[in-house]
Amino acid sequence: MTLALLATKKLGVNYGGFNALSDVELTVAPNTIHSVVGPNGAGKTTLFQALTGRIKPSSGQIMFNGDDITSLTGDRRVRLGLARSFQVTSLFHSLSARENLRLAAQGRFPWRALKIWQGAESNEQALAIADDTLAKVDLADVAARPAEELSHGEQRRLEVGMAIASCPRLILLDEPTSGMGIDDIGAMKKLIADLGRDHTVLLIEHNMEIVMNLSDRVTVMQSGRILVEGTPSEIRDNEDVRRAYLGSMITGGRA
Amino acid sequence: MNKPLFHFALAVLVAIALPVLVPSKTLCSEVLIFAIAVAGCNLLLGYTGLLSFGQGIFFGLGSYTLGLTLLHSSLPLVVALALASIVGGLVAVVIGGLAIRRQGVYFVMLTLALAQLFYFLAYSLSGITGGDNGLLGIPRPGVGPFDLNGALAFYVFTAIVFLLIFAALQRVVVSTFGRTLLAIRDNGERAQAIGFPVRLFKIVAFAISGAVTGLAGGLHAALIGIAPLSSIDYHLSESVLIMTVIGGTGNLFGSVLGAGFYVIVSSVLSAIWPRWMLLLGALLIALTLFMQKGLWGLIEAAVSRIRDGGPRRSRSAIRPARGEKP
Repeated sequence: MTLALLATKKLGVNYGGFNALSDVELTVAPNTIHSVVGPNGAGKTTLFQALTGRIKPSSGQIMFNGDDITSLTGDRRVRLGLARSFQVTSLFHSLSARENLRLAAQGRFPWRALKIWQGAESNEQALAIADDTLAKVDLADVAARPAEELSHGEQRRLEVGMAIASCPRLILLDEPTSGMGIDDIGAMKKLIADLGRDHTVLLIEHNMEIVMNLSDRVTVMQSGRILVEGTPSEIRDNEDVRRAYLGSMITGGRA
Repeated sequence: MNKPLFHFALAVLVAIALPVLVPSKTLCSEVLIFAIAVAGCNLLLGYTGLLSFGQGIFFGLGSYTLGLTLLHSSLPLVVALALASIVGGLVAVVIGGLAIRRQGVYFVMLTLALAQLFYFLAYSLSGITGGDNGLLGIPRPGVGPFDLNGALAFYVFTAIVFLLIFAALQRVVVSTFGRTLLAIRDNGERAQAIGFPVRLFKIVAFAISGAVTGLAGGLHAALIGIAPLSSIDYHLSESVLIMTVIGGTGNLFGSVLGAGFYVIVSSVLSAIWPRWMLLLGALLIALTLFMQKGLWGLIEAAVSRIRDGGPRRSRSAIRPARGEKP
């Protein structure tokens, strides 16, 4: 196996006595789609918060591309190439879809954005990335519309686009299909599959069809710990997982 | 309707029309001076989403700085104004740096507390500030060959400064920096998540706002020849905020409208009826309830209604105002 892009060592998060995460040893190989699944409260989102620097782990280490990033702030991690999308859509609602993405692209070089004399339209590099991302997430037609006027499915795709636009080495997607209608899920599935070709994706998802079809590796979490990790077929056949999920979720189609 | 050049043309028009329409040239100067301060406040409130009650600090310190400079040295007026602006900007970095450590209500309370602190500092350091009396007898030197001792001459000078500041702020709000401020206003958490050091951006916004407001304070002291204690008190912060809301937040020309409306109306009403503030209160209630985009929003809605023959498209007509393309 090649060098891991992301690795956690004995990662633990403690909320006032409650162990939200304990001894998590997660290894994400480059250019893979790695899913994290588990019942509600298993610690998936807490794991993301710790990885992106939103919360401070109480123990353990986070290694990214060989460097210890445990003590770095969230914006420093973005600059190193770690981006995330949110489970609850979080956009710049009054700004256009294109400008949302332009800002996300700019976030890799925030000091350039301190130029108070340079027009926003002169950031050619960031705009090129924004236009490129608009095409990827299939929002070119609504590029000029304010984010708040987009449909839910469009907002969810823009949400993922925000993570793509920072040109990350690792994209963390927190339930990208959250709240989506059946018609929009197909588009999102295709988008995640596309992402997996030139990025490394760490995915939290409840939709088992997406998880089982797209993932290279699947990590199952329960009560803040890793229950088991393996390929989708190994997970499907695992007895512990069947028990944890009472069978239905993993073996049956949709979540 | 929303091209920066058009707004600048409107600002020029206001600067030319004011002395023609308003008999008192001192009042005209006051309008433009407050327009500068309100634009500075708008940068924080309208573009960054920060409700600061500390604007009076920067205004007052600008007044005192200009007064002290001109009373105790023979430096030119322009240098004294630059100093007022620098002091305003530097203090704003400290005030902003402190206050943005908290968000929402706590941020507002911190700016309010700091404003009170500076008021009582100015009040007690009467050896420097003149305390209750303020700094009296500030001279008004000319600029180069121009004597500014006439009300109209000073108005022309004020108008030039106003237009320069207006153009500079217009540049700032369409810049990469200004657009990032809008993003921070919309969703600070996300701005942080995509890599922007949000606190630093807020502090820079404070610095610009403080520098602009300090300059306005300096101009005001030069206009009235004194730096009164009232230029640093809470009421000044409040007035500037009210003007910002009346004019319309997130739009720089709105600030000119807000300042003009407030200064002229309060001058007219206060001569007729000593309880004129009551009417202002009623107006503010109406504004917050029915027209949150202020006077500028009202004009915008009227124009789009005339253009499209109905109010239905007003929403999409207003949107690009936020500056999709300059």
